[in-house]
Amino acid sequence: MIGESAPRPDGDAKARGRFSYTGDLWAPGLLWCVLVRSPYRHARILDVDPAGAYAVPGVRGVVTAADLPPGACHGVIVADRPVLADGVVRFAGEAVAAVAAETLHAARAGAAAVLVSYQPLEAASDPEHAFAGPPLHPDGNVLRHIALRHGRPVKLRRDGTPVDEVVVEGLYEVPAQYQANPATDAALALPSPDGGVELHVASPYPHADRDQVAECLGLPAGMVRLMPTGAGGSAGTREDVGLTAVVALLALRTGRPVKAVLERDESLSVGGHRHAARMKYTHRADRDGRLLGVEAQIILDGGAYAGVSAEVIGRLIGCAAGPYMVPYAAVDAWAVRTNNPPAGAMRGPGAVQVCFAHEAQMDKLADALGMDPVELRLRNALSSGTMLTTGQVLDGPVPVGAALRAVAEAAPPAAPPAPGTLRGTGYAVGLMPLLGIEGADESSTATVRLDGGVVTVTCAAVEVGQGFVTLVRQIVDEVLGVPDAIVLQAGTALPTAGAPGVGRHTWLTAGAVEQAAREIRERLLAPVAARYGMTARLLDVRDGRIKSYDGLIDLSVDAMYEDTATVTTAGACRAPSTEPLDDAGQGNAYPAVAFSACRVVVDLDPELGTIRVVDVTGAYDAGRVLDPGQARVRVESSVAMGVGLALTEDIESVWSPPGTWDVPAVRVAAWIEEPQPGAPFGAKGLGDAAVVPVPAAVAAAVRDATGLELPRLPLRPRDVVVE
Amino acid sequence: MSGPGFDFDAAPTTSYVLRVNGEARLIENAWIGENLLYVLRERLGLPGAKDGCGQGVCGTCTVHLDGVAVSACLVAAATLGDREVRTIEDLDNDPETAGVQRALVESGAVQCGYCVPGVVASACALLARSSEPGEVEIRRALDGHPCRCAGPHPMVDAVRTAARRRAPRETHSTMMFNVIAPPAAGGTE
Amino acid sequence: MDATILMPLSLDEAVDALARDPRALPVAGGTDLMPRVNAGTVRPPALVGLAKVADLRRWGYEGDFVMLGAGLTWARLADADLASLVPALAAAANEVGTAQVRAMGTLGGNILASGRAADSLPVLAALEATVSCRSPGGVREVAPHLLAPQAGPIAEQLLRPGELITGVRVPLLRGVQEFVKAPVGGGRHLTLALVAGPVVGDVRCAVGGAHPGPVRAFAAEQWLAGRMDPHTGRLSDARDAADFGRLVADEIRPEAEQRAARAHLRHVVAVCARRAVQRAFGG
Repeated sequence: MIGESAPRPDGDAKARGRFSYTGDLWAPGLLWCVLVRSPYRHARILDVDPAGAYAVPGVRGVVTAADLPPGACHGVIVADRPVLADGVVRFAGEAVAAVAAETLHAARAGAAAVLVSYQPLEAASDPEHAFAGPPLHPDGNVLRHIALRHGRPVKLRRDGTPVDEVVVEGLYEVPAQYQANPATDAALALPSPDGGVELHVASPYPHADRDQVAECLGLPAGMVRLMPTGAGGSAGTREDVGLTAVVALLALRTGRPVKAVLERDESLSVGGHRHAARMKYTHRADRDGRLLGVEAQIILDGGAYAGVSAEVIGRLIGCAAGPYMVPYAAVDAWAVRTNNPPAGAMRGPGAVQVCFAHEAQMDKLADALGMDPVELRLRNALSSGTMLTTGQVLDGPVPVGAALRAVAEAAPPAAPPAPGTLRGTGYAVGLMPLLGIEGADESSTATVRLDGGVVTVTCAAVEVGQGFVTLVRQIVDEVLGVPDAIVLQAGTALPTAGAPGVGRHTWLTAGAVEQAAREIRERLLAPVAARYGMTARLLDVRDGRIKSYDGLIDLSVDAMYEDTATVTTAGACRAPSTEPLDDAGQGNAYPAVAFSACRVVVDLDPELGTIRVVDVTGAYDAGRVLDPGQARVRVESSVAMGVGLALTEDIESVWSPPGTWDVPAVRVAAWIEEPQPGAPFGAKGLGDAAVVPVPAAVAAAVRDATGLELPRLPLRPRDVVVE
Repeated sequence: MSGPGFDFDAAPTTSYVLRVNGEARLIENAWIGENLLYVLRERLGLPGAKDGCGQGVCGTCTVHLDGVAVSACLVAAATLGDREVRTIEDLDNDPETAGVQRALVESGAVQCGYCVPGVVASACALLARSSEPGEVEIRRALDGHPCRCAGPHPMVDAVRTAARRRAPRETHSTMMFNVIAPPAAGGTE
Repeated sequence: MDATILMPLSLDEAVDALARDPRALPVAGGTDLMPRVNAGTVRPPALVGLAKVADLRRWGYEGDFVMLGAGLTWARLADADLASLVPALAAAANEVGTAQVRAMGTLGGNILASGRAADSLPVLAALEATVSCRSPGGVREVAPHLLAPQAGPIAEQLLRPGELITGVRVPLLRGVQEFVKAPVGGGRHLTLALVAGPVVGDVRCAVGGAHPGPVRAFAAEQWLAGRMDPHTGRLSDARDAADFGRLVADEIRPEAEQRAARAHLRHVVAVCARRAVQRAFGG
């Protein structure tokens, strides 16, 4: 039932080790695939000689760029990333060739025996060099630039006297963050009798991946079928489409099933991480703490290929000034090309990075004004009916003030600071545009079939561990009173549901399921209602009973089903329509925005620079909490991810998420349940917004404890030592 | 992923008997460097333990070795001798395990589920050796199971719940004794 | 069974096996060897499995020493009985890796690994324990506190080809033992062990993680001996702890590529040494 915690239908199989992930799949005659990867960040490929690999016993196939249609490239927005590098490699780890062999041993030996000669070129690793440096790709080095200009600088007060400005500036840096999915990217391809290929991949976005693979192989989309398999984690970008295409190609070439599973260090090198960011900010406010203007220059390191950088910039730009009313904003945001691995989308894409900067600026401003940092934020907080710096008026709920007040008023942690430590408290608020943005015409469909009381839901959305299947069952239970619906994933057999993340399935697919289920309910209840001279809408289905509100009708739910054998309905849900941002970064680009606030308390050992996060208190703009248990888990995981980014997780050192000692359990100060108009049950996705303010709040707490400026994440021990 | 190394021709192989889930299994002509995880998954058809890193960091390959939770990817399978391996496929038969599994599902620790068979192995090993594990003991037992999907707390909560739900048992006080008096020299551990 | 895997049943058999094929790698827990084997950076020509050599997992008294078998795991070293005998080693064991690694990783394997991350070595260096390296010719005792990490790989200074680490011989000390482990960023740690010897003023301090092996601070120790109250065994002046910390840092001179990282390591050594001595001897 909506609003109650429900068990996962796949929970039992997973806990018993009986749930299959791509790496667990096997097919008769299976070949293993291992890729040959560039050790250079930037190099010309002079020659690829596969002869050595064919000499290894058990090797059945080797493919290089020459085996693909010319220019076989993939990319969600711009197809600029070669499936196998052709003539040039642009990052260390880029795939150059692939080997299929009877055993993993032989595939590895074969890959090691492929001779590639490189001529190393100068590598561009600093995103700031992208502007003046030589183009790393024929498409140039700037993946997207938005020059947002909003409002006019405020020079005079209402009474005509000049404004007494307080100005704070800062340079900020956020590193790349690795997805750290427990299961690395993997793919299994089976050749089909029709000359096509069947792919088993843990793709969160099967349609886009299918289309790209088909395009790269020069096959009609209908000849590539993609079946989503169990996904071992997904916090955004997951599954390297290039890998899927290579495995498909090898299956077609050899006529045998082919499987590849990336090694952990390969997975670290192939990209898909959160964009590293450099940000320069200037905030202006009057003496009363009212923001007058925000100027910023923001550079995201997009890595070697376009990926989703352009979309991340589109999200980031509306978040750059924070959840505040800003009469004047001039924000330039670029995503640029470097010889680093291509970045992807990770929970809270774009918003996490700018939140670190704008919240540091707000604290600086509070300090300069001698004002309480919470008070300063409340004074400028966005509210319903106010405008983002993209010119979009927020017509949904905007509980920035409520969220901030909830965390500020929550009781501080009961335990006193550990002896010898400095305690610090930090606040941050963030916003996150949900769903596809800038005119992404998103919709999702579902069919609901009722057969003798058994409900089967088929949808194209993919369960990647986020609990979507549970939500579908809850919706069916809520609408039809059937608690144990079977949820099937259709893969590419149904129209696309879009990629999960940014609240897409909570809204669109849940909406489609709800609509289909309601139609069944209407159809089945109508004859029952007619018997009593009522309409179906006046009847409630709950706990196996059909009841009227006056209690006079109280029937077993079987009454609904007795005359009907089978009913199938289809539902669809479309996102509110949006438009692309114009040249000045203005436009109604976001279907909805979600907010969250966070208070972090740390104890810092000032001598060793070790930080213990003592307390994390959050308040979340949920619209409606559909499943309290699931909601708590989303928030827990987002906080752990944010703390990891703040303290330990830079790609070079610690790749794994924080463990049992590194984060406290989250205290939820408030679930703010103001229903989002248009969203099923009024609910919004939680995970993305929840992570946004966490790294900023951790840094704020450490600043509070130390008085240091701390413009850079992660906060290494040596950065936070107080002499 | 955490399978054998490169040189196919020069890789020395061996055959040996491995005790897995109560049975003696013959492993034939296997490279000597194969880790236990690879042998379980690829040679014995036991895919319950997962492969996440091959470096002993991710915890997804955790199995029991003589009742203790270990990372199967760090175990050289050919050198195990007569030590007893138990995987999730067999742990699943114990009534104790069902309690742990149920608690993990209820607490929300099972999301993508990839780390869960390993968490079950660690939790069962803990509950077998400690009747009423404290907070510190639980967190220490699970410190090798980082989780992106749910964070660390749902699994910690689950183990606490599973421990609380079981029937109380007799506790041992040998630890106290050892602290007070220096122990006599030990035999084989 | 082929010659590429040997499963000796006794110490003698194990030592003979290694002597016959010095390229063979001994395997106990595997926690240090297998990451490298899995990554393809080490390809063992032959393995000597130590699972059946029960003697490696024994411990016992020998006069004023306790003999700890090289096959004792971190988890075992942290158990209450051994913790009461060698508290600093138990403290180090408690802070190693993850539960799975503590369950499998052995004392001998950690000594053999011997890099910056080998947490047992600074403890053994402070205790002035000796490592028993056995070959068919007999047992050679090597003292970790006399090694010089600056002079070359510690593993080579410790062990000769064909030798097997069978255990360590640790003096039974009744005084305080401190072990401190501090993260220094990038997943690395600095460790420091400080133990009191049998007589007042005999304080030993060794640092790990600053160099590719343990380094003792002999000069700082000597200075500290002069600052101890011979009657109480405590520091005579509380301020001496901080001075001791600085002296240890000056003597250890931690290595790091960047200057800022080096300065931080130095600072952490000084803080850890000061805290250890404060906890041990007041001040």
